[in-house]
Amino acid sequence: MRRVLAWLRRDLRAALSVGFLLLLLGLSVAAPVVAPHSPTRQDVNNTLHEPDASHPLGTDDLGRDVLSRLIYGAPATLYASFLAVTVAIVIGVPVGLLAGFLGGWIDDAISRLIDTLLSFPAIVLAIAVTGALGIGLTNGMIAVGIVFSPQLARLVRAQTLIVKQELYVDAARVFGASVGRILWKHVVPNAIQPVIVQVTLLLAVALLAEASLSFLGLGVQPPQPSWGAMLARAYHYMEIAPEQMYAPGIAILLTALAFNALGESLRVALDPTMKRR
Amino acid sequence: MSSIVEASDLCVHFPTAGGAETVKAVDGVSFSVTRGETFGVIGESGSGKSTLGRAVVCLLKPTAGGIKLDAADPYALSGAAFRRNRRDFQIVFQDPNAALNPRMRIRDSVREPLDILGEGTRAERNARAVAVLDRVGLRAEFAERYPHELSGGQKQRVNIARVLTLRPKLVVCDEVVAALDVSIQADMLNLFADLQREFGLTYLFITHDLGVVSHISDRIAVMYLGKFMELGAADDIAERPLHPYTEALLSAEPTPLPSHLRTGERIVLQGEIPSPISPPSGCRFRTRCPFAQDICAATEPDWREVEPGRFVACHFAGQVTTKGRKAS
Repeated sequence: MRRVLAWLRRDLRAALSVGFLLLLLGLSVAAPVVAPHSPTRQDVNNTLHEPDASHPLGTDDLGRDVLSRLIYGAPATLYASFLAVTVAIVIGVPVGLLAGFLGGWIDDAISRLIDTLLSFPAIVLAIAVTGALGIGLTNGMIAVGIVFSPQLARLVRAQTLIVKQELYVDAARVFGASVGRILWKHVVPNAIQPVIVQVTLLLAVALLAEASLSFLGLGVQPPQPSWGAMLARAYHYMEIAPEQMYAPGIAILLTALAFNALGESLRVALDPTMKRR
Repeated sequence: MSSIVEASDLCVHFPTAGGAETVKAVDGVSFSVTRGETFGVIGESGSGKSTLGRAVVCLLKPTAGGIKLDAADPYALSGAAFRRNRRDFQIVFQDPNAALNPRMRIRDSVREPLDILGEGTRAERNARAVAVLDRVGLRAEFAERYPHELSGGQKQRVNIARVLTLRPKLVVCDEVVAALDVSIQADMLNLFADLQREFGLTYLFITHDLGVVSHISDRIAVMYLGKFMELGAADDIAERPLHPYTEALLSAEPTPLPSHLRTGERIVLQGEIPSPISPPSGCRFRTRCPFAQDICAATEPDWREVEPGRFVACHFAGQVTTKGRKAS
């Protein structure tokens, strides 16, 4: 913990992105307290209103408060990102470990499967899965997670191939350690650093995937707010109220940027070959 | 005295990167290690001595021939029994740093073999780890540190300690002092000797350093290009080498005398060790042997017992040393 604080003090980019993400998390939890209005209360006399004192970011096409919808949309957006990445980790990491460590025909089979899955665009597969399992944010993001998993599997496999040749792995073998123990105690701790970095980058991609899915109407369903859904609605009023797109668009942009910046800072911080100034 | 390791015509071959050829790292070696002795294996780099050591602790499976540990074939055991059986046959590696997981504290590394066996409570295992660290000369405070905070010699002591927690019957020492400072090599060798007496260990001591091996070994095997050239009691080999290769190795050993007082002439071998992919026909040493005859290229010399306990693989064993030549 102290080391994390010291790192944040040293690295301004990391501190800013962590701060922003914590702020977002706080807003998600405290949405009912912080939001000035209900995110679903319509005021049809007051649609597409410009920002004023009672609606700091204006109202949407049904007269709902944009700021409130933005705040209530944050948990859905974060949930979607973390769900997709969790699915990717749960599938990708064990598969990559087994392929890399066991080798042989198992590795061949898994590697071909990874290559096949990597050729699918995430969004297209997600659309197919929501078509099959039913429309909804959870189904969509699980599909996105499945599409992400080969990326992680391939990275973990490559790391495992390096670590399994280490002498301490041989030493553990001679002590009589089982494959599971070697993987858990030796391979995972020494192979995981680039995976942590990749995960933060994937969070940003998942965020954009949520926005795309909701934009297409396959993610969060109305009247539930989400940034992607807000952007999709705003798109229809681009000519008469272009400012509608700014709030969700900028929120998506900043969050994706924060995840990416955090990933980049982590990469530098965790790489022992990069000298500390 | 029963033998703890018995290798019969042991071969360890690897396919080359393309898979078309075979690297014959160990190519038909037979020997047995007696309980309680130190069996030295000496050879230059590329002779296959490390591969031999790895085969003895089952890190490499023999491609041909057999190995018996404690009179039993380890590969006849099922997975779990095979793993449990390994505790008696341990190895200390050349690189003390690479043998330790950089993300594990010293105490956890030393405790690991006990954790795997699941003996006693965690507290008991911790106590044993600290006790054994103390035995190899590391104070308790080292237990909390990480490998990068220790020196090479200290790390090698940690590696010895973790092997000792298992109370093994046999320890393969694979170039255990080669990576260390000359100033601490002697300390370390003395530690090995003390531990052998104290724990009744048997050593298979692999090295390229004749000074090291003759100091610590009861018997010595001289290895060249995947085969043994000569095997016998350590003193015998040093005093009276029967194989030209052994003699060349001995003559390369520096003596603490000015050149005009040195008795032996230094034999400088020509060329490099040949490729283990296609070893020379007949005797493998003939391409560098100063006494090679036609028969050496034609027939491979037998591994024959010229005196009780003294094995040599040379057509002219004992006849063609430089000393012999000078006399005639």
